Amino acid sequence: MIRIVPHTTAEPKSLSIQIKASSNMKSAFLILLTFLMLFVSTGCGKKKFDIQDVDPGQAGTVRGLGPESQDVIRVSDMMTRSLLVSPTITQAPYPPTIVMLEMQNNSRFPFNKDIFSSRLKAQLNKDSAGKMRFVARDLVDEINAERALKRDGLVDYNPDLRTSVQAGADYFLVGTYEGLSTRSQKGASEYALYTFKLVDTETGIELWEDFFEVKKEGKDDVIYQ
Amino acid sequence: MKYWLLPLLFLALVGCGSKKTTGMPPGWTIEAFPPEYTARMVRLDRDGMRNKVLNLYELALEALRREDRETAKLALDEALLEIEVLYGNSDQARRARSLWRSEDDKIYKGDPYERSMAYFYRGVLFMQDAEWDQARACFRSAIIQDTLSQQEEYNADWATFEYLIGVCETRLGRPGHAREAFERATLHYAAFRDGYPSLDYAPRGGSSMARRISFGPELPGFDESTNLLVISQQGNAPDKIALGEYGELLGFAPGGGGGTLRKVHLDGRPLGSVITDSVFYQAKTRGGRPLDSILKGQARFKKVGEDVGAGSAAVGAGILMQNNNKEDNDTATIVGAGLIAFGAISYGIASLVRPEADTREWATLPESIALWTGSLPEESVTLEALPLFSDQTIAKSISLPRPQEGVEVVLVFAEPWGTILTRESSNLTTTERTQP
Repeated sequence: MIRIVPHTTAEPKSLSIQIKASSNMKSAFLILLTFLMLFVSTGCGKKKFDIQDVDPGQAGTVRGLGPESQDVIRVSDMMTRSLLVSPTITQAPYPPTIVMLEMQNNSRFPFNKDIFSSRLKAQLNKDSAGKMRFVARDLVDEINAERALKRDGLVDYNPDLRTSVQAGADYFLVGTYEGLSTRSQKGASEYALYTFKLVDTETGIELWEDFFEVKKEGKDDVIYQ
Repeated sequence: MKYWLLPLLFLALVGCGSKKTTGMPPGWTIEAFPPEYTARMVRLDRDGMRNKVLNLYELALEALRREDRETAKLALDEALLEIEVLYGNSDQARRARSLWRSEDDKIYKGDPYERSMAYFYRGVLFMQDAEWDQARACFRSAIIQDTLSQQEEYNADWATFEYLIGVCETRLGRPGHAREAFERATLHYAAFRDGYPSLDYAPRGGSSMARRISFGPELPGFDESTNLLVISQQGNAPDKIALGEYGELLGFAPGGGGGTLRKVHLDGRPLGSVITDSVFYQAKTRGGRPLDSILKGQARFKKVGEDVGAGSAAVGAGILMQNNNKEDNDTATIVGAGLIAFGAISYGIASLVRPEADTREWATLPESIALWTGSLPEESVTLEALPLFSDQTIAKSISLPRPQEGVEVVLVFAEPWGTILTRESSNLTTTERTQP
């Protein structure tokens, strides 16, 4: 331990200060040591990975070569902007009715296809401000049951809003995800092509189509090759 | 020393020691699964990330054998997520490559054939749910896992997966793509049929298995009218074995039992399935890994260290013995003792080098996969899985009604459990009877 000895000629005073200084130093050292231990024990010199909220529109630190959240958001943003300015929508005499079909996966990644359709439909419903209307084909049975209850007089409803049948679709909105995989000793590469198109349900004519593409590359460590 | 510091010191040490991570996927709890999985779930939790994928693989296969499709899907989905993680230059990958750690220190993802099989099972489950595009995606990924074999002819050569892609394409209404997939499957099947009997698998000397396999002349046909696909599995997974002086070379030994096919019966008659792939064949033909050269280098380093250590110690001991009776020969004594010390250090360093190959394996895989297709008649048929060995006496059978539309995809584990898994397994009557 380093001792601080005051430079003085008064011998008795010097002795007392020396003893006091030594005791204070010892306490200070122990406190410092305690804090150091606490720091080490909580962190152990390594940052732990905790759950944290991140921006889903940005590529995070946990990455994969397959579809990711930023792809879902970019695809639906891009398709919404493109579709809402297409003449099929802007020049329509009345808001067309649309059925969103299940997305087709033509890649090597099994993934939740509904998430692309769900976000795109929600964004179109939100941003179109009534310029297009989606038909809820996933609720056909529930809607028929509700219609039956109304017509049986078991629940109340406005007769002026009655229709003979459920709404049909003017257009189908259908998306496809296709992929191209490449592997070599240098790593793995995945090219992804997302296409969406609007198809006339009477003629089959494709009235609008747009695409989004992305290529991802990554390399696994040699221990996994 | 202040005594109040002791608890803090203890906390510090305990804190540093508790770096253990759980292998349980987010949101999973042991209580959320049926009690028969408790032991596996405890292991999944206890083993941490290092064996997470291996534990999930085994959980999935156990669930399939218990006809529990939902648990199998959960486990496979989690395992596939981990398979796709790329550990490019990560800390744990660097550690596993270091001289002082054995390869099995790495987070397990499985060898290519194991990853392929994980995608295969998930694909079959998608097929049973008639999600043909998702199933096709799985079989494509199963094939991708098998790329980069040492010999190009064995790259992506699973006949089964190409065939099942053909089935998916047929069901998706893409006959051209289906035809191409079936053609690729036929090519791979021919190569497998020709290559398997001549496969060299010396480690355990068992060469009779290949001779017992009776290959069919060609793959079963499949078209839009086919409404029954039986995928049966036989035998035991290949064993991973560590070869070389220090276990630095990864080798494979056949698990056996993959050649017997006359154990799945349709309406009392043996199903004439065709063995389309051998898991052992796929493991064996993959060839050397890039990591092998690193492990070989580590083994050489260890060998040189040991040799130098032993040699130095021997020379040092010799010098000391020669000068034992001579007086005033301090220099020789110092040199001798120095050489012994150097030898001991060299030997000690060599003993710390860990070149052992990772032999963790998905032990519950089958040895072979066989396919059979047909058209169910108007009425139902009985599919029966008989035990492979005489000491197992329980046979299981299931009554399959003709599907309203599409294809009934049946996954059969011919032995030892005799599981017959369909989408509606839980709703169909499975009977067990004792073999005479």
